[in-house]
Amino acid sequence: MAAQTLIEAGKSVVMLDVGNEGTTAEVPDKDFLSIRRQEKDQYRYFIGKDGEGIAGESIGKGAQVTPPRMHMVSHSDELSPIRSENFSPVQSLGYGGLGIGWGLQCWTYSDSELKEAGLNPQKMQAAYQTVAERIGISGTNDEAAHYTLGPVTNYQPSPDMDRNHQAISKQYEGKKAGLKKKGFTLGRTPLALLTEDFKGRKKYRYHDMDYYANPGLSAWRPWVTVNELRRNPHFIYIANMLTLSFKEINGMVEVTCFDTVKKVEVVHKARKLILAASALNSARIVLRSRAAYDTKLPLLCNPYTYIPCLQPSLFGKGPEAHKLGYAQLSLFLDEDHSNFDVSVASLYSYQSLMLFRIVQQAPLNFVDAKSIMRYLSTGLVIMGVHHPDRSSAKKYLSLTRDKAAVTGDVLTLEYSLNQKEKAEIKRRENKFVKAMRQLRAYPLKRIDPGNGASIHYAGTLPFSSSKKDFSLSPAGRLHGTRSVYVADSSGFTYLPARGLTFTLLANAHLTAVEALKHD
Amino acid sequence: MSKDLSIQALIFGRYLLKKVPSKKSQDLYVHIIQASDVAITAKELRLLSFTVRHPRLVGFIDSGLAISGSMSEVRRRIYVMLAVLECQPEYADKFLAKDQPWWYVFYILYVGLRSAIKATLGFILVKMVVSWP
Repeated sequence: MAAQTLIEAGKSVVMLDVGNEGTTAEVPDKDFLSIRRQEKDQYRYFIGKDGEGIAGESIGKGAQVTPPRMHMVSHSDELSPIRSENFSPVQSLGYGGLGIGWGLQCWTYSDSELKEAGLNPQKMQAAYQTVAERIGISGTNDEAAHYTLGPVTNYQPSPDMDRNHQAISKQYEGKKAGLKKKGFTLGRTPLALLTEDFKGRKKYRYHDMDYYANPGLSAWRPWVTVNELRRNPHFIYIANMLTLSFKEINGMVEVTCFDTVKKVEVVHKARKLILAASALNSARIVLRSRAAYDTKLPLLCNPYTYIPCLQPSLFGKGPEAHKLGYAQLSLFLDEDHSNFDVSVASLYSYQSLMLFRIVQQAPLNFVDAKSIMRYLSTGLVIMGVHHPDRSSAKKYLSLTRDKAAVTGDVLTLEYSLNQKEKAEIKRRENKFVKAMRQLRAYPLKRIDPGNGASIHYAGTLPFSSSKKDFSLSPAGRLHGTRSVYVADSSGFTYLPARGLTFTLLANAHLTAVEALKHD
Repeated sequence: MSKDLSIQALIFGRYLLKKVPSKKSQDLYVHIIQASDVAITAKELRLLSFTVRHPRLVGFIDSGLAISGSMSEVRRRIYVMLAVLECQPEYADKFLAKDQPWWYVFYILYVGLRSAIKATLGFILVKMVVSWP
């Protein structure tokens, strides 16, 4: 998003990226049920040519990283090594980064959340609009709109809900008053998904192949914009470049990269550098550039739990043709109606991730588990609950020297919640469980996929108006530098529960605008 | 090696489908197991050999392993075959959801009960096989 802002301002931009690419091209342009019944080579994208998608993660953690998306995480263990006993992040060196597996949810933060995160509400509201105009989003102006769309007015209608979500929505209508008293509001999830043709991209066709392909580019992902930018003569994309460090010399920034193909170090020079390598990796680059080994930086990550729920009214139904794999409804818990420190649960129905993944979850023999899960699967809804996060002394990262690593160092991560945070999360999740029962979706159990599973990371180089080391100015410039900016979530001083991607994009745009001002 | 894996594919496929799996499914199973290159312990090997020698007991072994905690190599291989079969168009309707009458819930309850009994017997069987001198 920052690169697009710079290009639109007439600047020349070089993007340095490792950019591992995938194989979505071989997925036919057909719907899920037709593929299942007709395509003899479907195993290539459903389980992978070598079965690499079979031993995948549990439903709530990493199941969305299907074989066509595995380039999202490939080589990151080797090139971005981490060490931790209690934090397991997902990192990406793929073309389009973590956006490859993004669930497309486009949340805005409330003004109070933006302020707490160190962001300027007024500027961010305008930036949200800019991003929505660029990428195309769909949403609904329902009673949850102040939690979802906020100030955004330029959006397309939400996609049709599938039968699981229709059933929940219908139950909510009848029980709304009671749920609202308890602090709950249910609304349509805003998505970076087109329901009308937009700038050469096609509207969503309900193929239910969302975890495997992106026909017509109906879903916006970062690589969609990078592809567009690469057609501009002022934009140069250089792949296979792992950024290691930077230094400012004679009014220029020298960026040292590791060429992942030739296995040599390469130096690039620019007038300004904008880092957007994710909160973990931007911090890694900054620490390495300053040779600040063993210096602790803060770390934010949304605590996340997933809760499979059953809708008995939908057991034993046939497959659904008009289905989608994205979240369609979200439930907000805002007990004091302040639109601050809200917890959010997004609801997903289940079909295209295949039966074998849920059969594995049952402590039964596979034949009986298959019979039971086949019957239950049409009434299965996965609720992913996210909670806000604040920094504490028990949440930090540091860079440690390690001769065995390709980069000569490893990022060490420490993350644990204190008793008060744990108790608050449990209390809120108990309320979500009760609310879902009221909506006739009966929770089975709470599953904690471990720290880092939300894939929402932030706060490693926090915004600060004072010129502290390892912090960013409100404009996104790294203190102690003249022309190095950080355009990802590294600066956030608080992490609201609503997914950060849309805010991250808006902040990237603003950071580029600020970089242009100081040209 | 490849022949042993083909026999496993046949046994596991027949167990899961109640009929002989297609040649393509068998070949894909062999390829995936070879590609995964997972080290197998002596105990696991004993259990795998027992399963191959007594294909009628696969269901009990699978049931016993299902409640034994972590996924054993035998169960992982049955699971691989399950995933392989699900991706074959000729078996799609054995895996896709299906409209069922209301009373089907009683059949599902019966399956659950049957599964629990099998798991109890299977658990004992697995313990016996792996601890056999």
